[in-house]
Amino acid sequence: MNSMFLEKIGSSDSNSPNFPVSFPMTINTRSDTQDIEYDDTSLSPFNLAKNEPKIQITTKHWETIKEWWMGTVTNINYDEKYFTAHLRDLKFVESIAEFDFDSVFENDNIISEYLCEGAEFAFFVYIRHGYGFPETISKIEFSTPYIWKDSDNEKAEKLIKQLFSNV
Amino acid sequence: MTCFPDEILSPPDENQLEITLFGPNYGESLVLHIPTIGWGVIDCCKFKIPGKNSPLNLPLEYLKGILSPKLPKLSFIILTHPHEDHYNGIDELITEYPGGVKRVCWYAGNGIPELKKYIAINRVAGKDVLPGYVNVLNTIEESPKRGVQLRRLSELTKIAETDLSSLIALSPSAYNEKKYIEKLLKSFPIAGKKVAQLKDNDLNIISVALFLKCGKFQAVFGSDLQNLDGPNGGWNAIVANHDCPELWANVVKVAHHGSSNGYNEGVWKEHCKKNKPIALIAPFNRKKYLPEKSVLTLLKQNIDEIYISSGPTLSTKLSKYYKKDVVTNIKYRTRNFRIIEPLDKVGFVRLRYLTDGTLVEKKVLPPAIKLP
Repeated sequence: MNSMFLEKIGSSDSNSPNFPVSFPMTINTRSDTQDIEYDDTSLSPFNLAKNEPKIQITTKHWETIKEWWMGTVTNINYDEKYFTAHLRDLKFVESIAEFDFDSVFENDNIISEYLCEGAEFAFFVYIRHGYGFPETISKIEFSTPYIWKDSDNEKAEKLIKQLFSNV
Repeated sequence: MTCFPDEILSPPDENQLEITLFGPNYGESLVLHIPTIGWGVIDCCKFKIPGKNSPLNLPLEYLKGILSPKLPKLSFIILTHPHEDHYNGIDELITEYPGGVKRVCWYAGNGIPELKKYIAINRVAGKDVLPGYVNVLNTIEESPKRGVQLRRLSELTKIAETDLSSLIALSPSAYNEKKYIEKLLKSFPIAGKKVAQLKDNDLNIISVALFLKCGKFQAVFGSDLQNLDGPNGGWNAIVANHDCPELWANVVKVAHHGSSNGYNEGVWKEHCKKNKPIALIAPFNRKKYLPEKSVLTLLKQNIDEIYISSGPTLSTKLSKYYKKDVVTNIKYRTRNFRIIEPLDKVGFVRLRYLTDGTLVEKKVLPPAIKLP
């Protein structure tokens, strides 16, 4: 599992469409913030007598997507540490965007692992709901590079014959 | 009925040469009428009119509009290189142009098996590289069954020739072909390593630039040919080739949408040797914006007239498409974010000449514009 960084900007919008968070491609994700939920019952007068509020680490929160783009890296500028990408949202509105490395990647190892021309990623802005929320957040998740296997050579050869009439 | 106004769909006289450039944001196609050779198309592109379901094949629409009802056989269709903005719809053009096609010419056959393998490898890895190209390749390779002659192009290959006119390929050089295949082979993965894609520019290495001579008229169509290292690659190879014709020109289709790596000073000196050519540019509004300002500045030093087949459509008005909090997040996350505004109509730049080099018609259908 790998994280591609997570950024928060506090703002809320209760009228957002309620899309489930799901990905059409294999994407490894991890939030780099721990989700801490205060258990309401621990704050009740009955429990206060126990002297300390109960804090649980949990994954109980949900997200609604506000906007979602599929991106493809088109150019990488290592000198100035940014990359350019072509984006397309769900309504097929297309954009060209430039992202600084440090606004996307946590460290250089991740850059070399994921960033290359043609790499695909999802960029989405969503609302995170839960205790103490909602807040609007954006996140970028790169697709996992496909690792070639010996058995894939045979698949590729078969596919060439299937796809092309003249081999 | 076509997507073009009826009043501009009058064909040229038999002895007139026509060059019409289509380039709707993404895509490039040239329709030519060459006296004594006939009609032909270089590359193909499509355009989706807002509200309509299927995109229009622009050269096909134009030819049907201008030549109906008696559509002559096309003398040639040329595919210059395997980029979507140049091959999109060329299979349709070959199979659906009602008059039929005499000859399909495409970039050098070397590298085709490797490109097929590259496509298959990426499909296995779950990636559809070069979308639609499988059908294009199959259509081209099967076109002899329709009575079409196939011709591979490389430097100084003749496409068509008469006493008056000739159209020849200026590239790819042998060196470019070798470099192109090396790039493809290098992209093939070994077990345990990740599958990588070619860079966009790698596919331009094989680009076919073209030279047209008709009487006292000359034109150069640069395709997406770029500069490559050393004297034997890219534009340098053309300039260095002793057998290459003199490249002065009345019209130049600027190479690679006006990118700096498509601009070659030596070649432009040649183009401007006899007179100031008219420059035609099809913009590229997808992965980055082309033409580059620096190239336009250089071009303006040498020539007076530059026409672009559609104006720049990159917009920073994010609020037109996204809510305020989304815009805030976009701005926070990116250093630059520009929307590619869709075009609501398609235009073209059309030039007609007599064979003595006299310009007789200059038609600029918006959103095509003449650059100030």
